[in-house]
Amino acid sequence: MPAEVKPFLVPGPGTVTMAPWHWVVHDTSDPLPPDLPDWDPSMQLHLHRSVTTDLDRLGEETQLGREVRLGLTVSWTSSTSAMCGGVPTVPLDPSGITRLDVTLPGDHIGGTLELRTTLTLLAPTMTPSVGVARFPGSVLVEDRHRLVLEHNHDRFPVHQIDFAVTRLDPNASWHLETTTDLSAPFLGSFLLLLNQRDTELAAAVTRGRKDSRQEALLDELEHGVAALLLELATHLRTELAECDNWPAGSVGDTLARVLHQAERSGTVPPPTGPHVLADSRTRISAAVRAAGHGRQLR
Amino acid sequence: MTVLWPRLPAAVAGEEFERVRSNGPGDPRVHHPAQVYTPVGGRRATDAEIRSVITRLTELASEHGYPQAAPDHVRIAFDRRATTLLHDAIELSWSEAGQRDTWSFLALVALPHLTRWRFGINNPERWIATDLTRHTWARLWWQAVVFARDPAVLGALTESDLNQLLERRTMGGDSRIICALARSIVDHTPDGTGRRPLIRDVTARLLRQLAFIDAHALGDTVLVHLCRSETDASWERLLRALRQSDVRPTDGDD
Repeated sequence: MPAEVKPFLVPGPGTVTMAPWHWVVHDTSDPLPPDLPDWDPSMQLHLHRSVTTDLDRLGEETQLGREVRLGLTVSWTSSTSAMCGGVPTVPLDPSGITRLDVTLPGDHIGGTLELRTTLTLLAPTMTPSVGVARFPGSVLVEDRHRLVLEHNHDRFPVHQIDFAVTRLDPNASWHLETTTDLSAPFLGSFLLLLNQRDTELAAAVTRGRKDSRQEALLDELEHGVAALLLELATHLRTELAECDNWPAGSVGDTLARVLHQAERSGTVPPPTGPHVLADSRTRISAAVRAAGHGRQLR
Repeated sequence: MTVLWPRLPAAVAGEEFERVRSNGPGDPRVHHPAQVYTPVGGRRATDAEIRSVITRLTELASEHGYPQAAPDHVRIAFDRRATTLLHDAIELSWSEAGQRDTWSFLALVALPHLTRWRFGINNPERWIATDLTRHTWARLWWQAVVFARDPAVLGALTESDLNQLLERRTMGGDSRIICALARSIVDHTPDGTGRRPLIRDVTARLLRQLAFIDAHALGDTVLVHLCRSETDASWERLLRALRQSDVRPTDGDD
């Protein structure tokens, strides 16, 4: 959220410490990785973390004192549906260490999940003063964590169809379905279609060992798709810059990251006409390779 | 187990839509040669399940005049009943229901006859899912999800009201807020007069609050109170503005 200035006092750094998330699978607790490649909607996600609070400092820094009721709330937003949900708030433990155990419903989440943990006021303050939080739900501290359940960029959905039954030219090998709606979920709107008529490419993308020609075909495909994404991002540069914080898993979020990664070594201008087309393509091709997509120089 | 419904890629959907435009919708089908499935786990919807959706919705439409043309209020009445039926009949994970191509399959392959009866063939976004709040069937399925805790309030909202309420991502994805807010708005505007400016004003007010209040930390009673107090404040402000301009309350720019 831009201009993150709250109309009330919040605790300083170190007063509230949120430990990293852990997930429980097969009765074993492990640190939560950034992505869960084997996730599917039938999986419930069991997560836990602890939050350590220096209650005296918190009371002083927020001028709320020690008597006010505070609690921790975990909520989630799913990129594929833009829907959100929360789990019941846990009151802050008087010992200063509060453990959060949450179970997220697999059939309600997907894409990239944004997990938000907030420390909030649970009841209105009895004697409100200027600059002191007073409304229930007022966020004193928050932490956001992104968890990728379904990959966007590197492994977005791929399907094989016969281009002859579509509006697509049957001589093409692939087509990337795209949108310029930057708020749309990436996974729901981008789809890589492979033409079944290109039997060599179809064989190359199937799982299993690949020969050198098949690897070269996949490199070419990966390079082409990555270049198209980057070119799209360069054309939408102005729109992408209009928001600092695109929703997790949205088209804006994905394309902004594509552009950011590509421009670590300089600006990638979009082709503005035939006189710059060759230069632009060279720059895009180099940026795509530098980002690790397609055939690499040896 | 998650049920995966067929998906019709946009490139194929575009072709199908052109076919519908040229030749009419044709008969409902349970299969398309170019349909695909999402790569996550789950079982695929059976032909019988797809056929059941076709039958149940066709019967419901018949009760509302299908195949004869029906006036707006009758088709809206169909929408309201179809919302629950569709959600009960099509079991989808929310992630799957966020996939545009699933809804294109439904409109163009399984239910082309009803899609044309409901919205005609001039607007492609009623057929090919680009915006899920505009697609003929996606919008109904998601309305059932969002208004599950207060289905009655859905019946009091117009399509325009729903668009205004659901288009704001920060609130539209939170069914507790939407239901509480919608109930409060409907209570203030039982005959719909003044509703559009009220929704516009109160959603802006609420968004400002949500910049520093976590709605998930609020119990149901407190959340309802918050929505009511913001709606009261908006209504008062609008009435004051109307009194000053000496204009009779209307539905603004509807």
